[in-house]
Amino acid sequence: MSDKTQKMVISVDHVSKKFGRRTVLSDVSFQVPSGCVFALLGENGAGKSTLIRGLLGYHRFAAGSVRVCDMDPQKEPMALRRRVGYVADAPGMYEWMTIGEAGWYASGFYAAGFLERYANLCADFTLPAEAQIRSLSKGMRAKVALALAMAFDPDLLILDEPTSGLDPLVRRSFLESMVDRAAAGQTVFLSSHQIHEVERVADWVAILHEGRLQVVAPLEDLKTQVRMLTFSLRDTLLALPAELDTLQILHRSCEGRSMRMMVRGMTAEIQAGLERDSNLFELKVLRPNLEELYLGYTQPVDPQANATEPQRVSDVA
Amino acid sequence: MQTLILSRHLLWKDYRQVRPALIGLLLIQASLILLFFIRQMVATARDNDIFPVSFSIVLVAPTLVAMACSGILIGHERQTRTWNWSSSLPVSWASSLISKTIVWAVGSLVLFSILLALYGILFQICVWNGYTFIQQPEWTWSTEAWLMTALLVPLEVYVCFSLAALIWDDTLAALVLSAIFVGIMHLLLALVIPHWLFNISANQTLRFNGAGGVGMLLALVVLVGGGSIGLSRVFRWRWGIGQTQQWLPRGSSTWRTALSQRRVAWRPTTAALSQPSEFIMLLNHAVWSSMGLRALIVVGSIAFAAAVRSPAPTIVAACLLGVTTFSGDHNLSRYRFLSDRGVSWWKLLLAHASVPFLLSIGIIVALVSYLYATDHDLREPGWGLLSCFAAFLIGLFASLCTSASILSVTLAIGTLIIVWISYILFDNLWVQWIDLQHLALAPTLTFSTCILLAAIMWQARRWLTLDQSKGIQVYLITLVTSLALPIFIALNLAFLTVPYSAWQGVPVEQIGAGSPRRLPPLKIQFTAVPMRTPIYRSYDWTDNGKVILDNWATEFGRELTASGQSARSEWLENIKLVETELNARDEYVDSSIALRQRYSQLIETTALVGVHATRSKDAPLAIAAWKANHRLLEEIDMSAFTDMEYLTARWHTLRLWDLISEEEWKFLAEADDVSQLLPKPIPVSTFVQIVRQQYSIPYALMFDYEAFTADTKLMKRFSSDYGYASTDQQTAREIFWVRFALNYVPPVRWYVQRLMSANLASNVNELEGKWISSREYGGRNVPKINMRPMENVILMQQLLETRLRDWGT
Amino acid sequence: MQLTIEPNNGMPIFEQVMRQIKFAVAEGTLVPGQLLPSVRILAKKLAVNPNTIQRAYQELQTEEVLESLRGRGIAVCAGAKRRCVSDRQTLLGQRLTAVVEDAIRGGLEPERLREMFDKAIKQATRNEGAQA
Repeated sequence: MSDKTQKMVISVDHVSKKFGRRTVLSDVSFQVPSGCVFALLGENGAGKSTLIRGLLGYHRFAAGSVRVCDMDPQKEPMALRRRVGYVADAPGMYEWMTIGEAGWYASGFYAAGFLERYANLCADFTLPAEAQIRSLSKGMRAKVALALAMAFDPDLLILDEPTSGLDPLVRRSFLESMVDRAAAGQTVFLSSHQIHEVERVADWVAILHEGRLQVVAPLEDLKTQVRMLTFSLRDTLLALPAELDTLQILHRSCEGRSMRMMVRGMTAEIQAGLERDSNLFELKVLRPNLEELYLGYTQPVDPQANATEPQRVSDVA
Repeated sequence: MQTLILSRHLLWKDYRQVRPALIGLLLIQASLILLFFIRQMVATARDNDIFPVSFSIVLVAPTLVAMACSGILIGHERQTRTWNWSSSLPVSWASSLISKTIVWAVGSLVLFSILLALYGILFQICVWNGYTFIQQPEWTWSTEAWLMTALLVPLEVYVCFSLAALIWDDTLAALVLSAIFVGIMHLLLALVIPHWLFNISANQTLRFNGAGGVGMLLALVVLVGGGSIGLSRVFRWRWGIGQTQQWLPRGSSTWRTALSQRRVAWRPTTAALSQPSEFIMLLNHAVWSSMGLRALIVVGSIAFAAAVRSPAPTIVAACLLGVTTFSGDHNLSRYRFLSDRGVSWWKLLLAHASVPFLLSIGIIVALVSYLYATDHDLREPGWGLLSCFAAFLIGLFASLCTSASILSVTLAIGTLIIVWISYILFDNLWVQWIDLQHLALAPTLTFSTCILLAAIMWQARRWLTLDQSKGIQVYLITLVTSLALPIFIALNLAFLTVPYSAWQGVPVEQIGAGSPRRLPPLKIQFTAVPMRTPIYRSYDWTDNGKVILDNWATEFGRELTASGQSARSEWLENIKLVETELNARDEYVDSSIALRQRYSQLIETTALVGVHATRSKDAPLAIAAWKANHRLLEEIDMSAFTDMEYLTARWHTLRLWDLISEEEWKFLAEADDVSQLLPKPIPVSTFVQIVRQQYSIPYALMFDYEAFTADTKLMKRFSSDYGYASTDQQTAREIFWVRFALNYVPPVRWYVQRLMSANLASNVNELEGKWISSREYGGRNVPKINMRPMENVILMQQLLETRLRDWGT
Repeated sequence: MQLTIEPNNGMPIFEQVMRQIKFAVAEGTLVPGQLLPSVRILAKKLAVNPNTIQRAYQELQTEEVLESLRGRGIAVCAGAKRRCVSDRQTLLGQRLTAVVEDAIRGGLEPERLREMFDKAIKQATRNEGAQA
């Protein structure tokens, strides 16, 4: 997975963006290897859409550089558009067109074969070619947008919150399409906050919080390296065992006599050491799911303490 | 395929987008031209050359297409985010811009050609029907003027409007701003270079004057060129990195919410101790939404109105303000938000509408005061206020019915123009038909406005309950109803406005038998001719009149013969004196009423003498009498046409001519040049028009018919000498409509009947002794005419009914 | 073959897939020589990342439960059943140990535990007999 000679489809290098006085992105860097499903998580307003739009060249970043498919989005917009498929959240489409007409319209700008692939996709999604777009439900509209973005077989597919507000059937459709593309060797860049879906299909995960990238890592690595630690204390006034200091604590919460921590770097020795401590009981070391990981990375380290947040390291494999 | 600058896919897409608007524009403009055409054809006076004015509608087509194209292809696309989607495809900005420009150019050309063809066809039809228009001013424009009007101005509008639509997110704001900009620029140019610009010569040619004209042209070319370059740069920027850039810094929320409809916050009042009422919050919201746009409209319209010195732009401004009432809400589906909170529709309507309505009142008041202060001629301010209110409602209704702001503006302004022009064109006709005074159109307008208000309230309720289907159908149906319904009702109920006069039926013969007949002695002194003729003595309203006239003529003849040759010579000399006297006067007969009465009596008398002489084959007397009659009819001035006596006398003359048989006529024709003997034909259209203006329908109908019948008979008999132009046939057409309405539309018949009775009754009252009782002419009192009132009243009623029956045949 | 994936129960997805395939082989739902769906198809059906399925197949091949047939795909190995059954038993054993530890830690008496154990066995075998 972390093959250094693998081609990078997207390279983002220390970009930042401000709107007026508000900083939307600050010092964001990551790379997306080719052929993977890359998920960008973040709350509303974290800057995901801004980042994506900048990737496509719809605005200039204040600092830093971006390369997508080995091209500068500002300098070669047309070439980029021929290789990258983009589905925006709330995609705008011509309401008066029928589904077939929309396909025909788009086909004029791509190489041959677009219409055939589009027809197949529409059949897969059970979209009637004669229906007018204005009469479609939200889910069908999203499917049309996806079909249009996939029909020219793009090397990179960028989806900005594609399934927000859609019913489970449509969401499932989207997931299957993403998986299909990944299996065919294309790259999928997905921004979402449907964490359960992301957990199924993502290879890589990046968490964006308040304009900063908290972590970028393969999902598997994250799940293997991060552990959820829960235990109860018999005496809360006693100091915690020293082994805990050797761990990187991502998040800690305390309720009465039970504590929960998300830690990184847990080893068998440390675990044994903790089990030996008499003050601790009911020690559990679990693999966190993505939701817990996300919450751990986006909430302040210690909600009760007012200490400055330790820097969370972003891990680029 | 990917690198082609011209893409048929793009062209197809742009064409399909703009097609409904182009069709709508075409229909509106074609209907306007047709309205002008209809008015021209129905016009009575031939110097009412209204049709050529519609050429300006043709000329303005490319400019309108420019507005539509930039509004839809750029503004609407940006607003609905299809712009974003198109730009995410591998489409270069140049292809996109070129495609839109080509669609505009081709659309303009097509529309212009179609409208020009339509205009040409209708123009030709008018000419075939005998209308000769005065020289078209437009046809004599110089090349520069043509170039400027037909090419540069539309291009300029296209560039300006497109730039504005690119810069501002809200289409409506962009439209208003660019309209203001273009208008100001043109006004400035017109102010700065008035005399160098053009001179309008006597026959209204538009020529550019030498250096100034060319300079102006160059200036415009430079402007348009620079604008185009700017357009391509801004377009490119918006297509790429500037897609979401907005002009105001995000920090300043107040102005942002004001100028951009998208971001109006639902602003709770700060630190309020008590919860403000729902209505106050709605009002607060209404004040802040579209504030910038409304301010622009207000300022722009006041500036325009002051510049052109007429209150007309305020009506357009009121309409636009009405459109701003709801136009922002559709975009953001704000209605869903409001209906979720259970806001009642009437509160919403009141709150939303009050702000722009007060603004429009403010504009009108400001403008009216300004115009009063500068001593401008203002007619009927109340009427103007009502029109502004109606325009405001039209705009409000349009924005309620359609979601795209471009569409609502088009609907509203289009409606306004059609109503306005229809009113201007058909004002006189409507007045004539319904017999309303000019100002009384206000009740019709009020009624229409009430219907519009009801429709608005109904649609507002549907709007909140999410049932917004068929907005445009609702709009069109309401408009047609509110225009047609009052007119329909007025036509049908008009008869109720006239009181029914109760008559008692008495047969005509009985009346006729009792009418006095006296021979009119003739004295040739124009100031006092003591003769009494059958005027007002026996109304020959039926064909019984022919009998009566005949009897009268016969008896007159008998008496004349009985009085012997000496009387006859005396008559001859006296009549010849008439002509001498007439020749001696170098001006028209004084149109004092008394004099006219005498005059009319003289006319009748000479006609009687003429008939008798013709029948008795007394050539010299006949010729003298008819000549005198002819001269008398000729010499009277135009104002006499409005006199009942003159008209009756003339008409009696015509009827008397009817009594002459073929051989008698042949005898006369051999004797002298007949054209000097026949009564001088008054162009019937003029005659009828004048009568119409003076009297209402009943008189018009009476005299139309009688004059027409009499004249037609004479015309048929002596057509080559009588010399009526064929266009006088219009009267026949008009009479046809009248007769159709009288036969098949009972309410109209009742109305006319009642009106005729009432008017005749009032006339009788006048004649009974109230008229010319106290006027003095040259120190002499004019005696009253003695009549037996009731018989005449009854007779009139009988004649009325017979006449109406007659017209049915 | 029906697989159920729960992405957030703590167990890696590939491990879930592996376990369920092994169980299916142990049960006899998958017979030796039966072809499994390709990576792409299975990934699409389950809506999980194909790499996950790839890893699962890889590990199963290493454990000699599945074998790759040239040109035909992935099939169950001949002697896989025995291996899967023993794996399953190992897993069960692990589960049992964990339950017993929990019980002891929770304060249950060993005698009582043995009683409960016997009762459970009796119940299960009776049901088993009824079913068979």
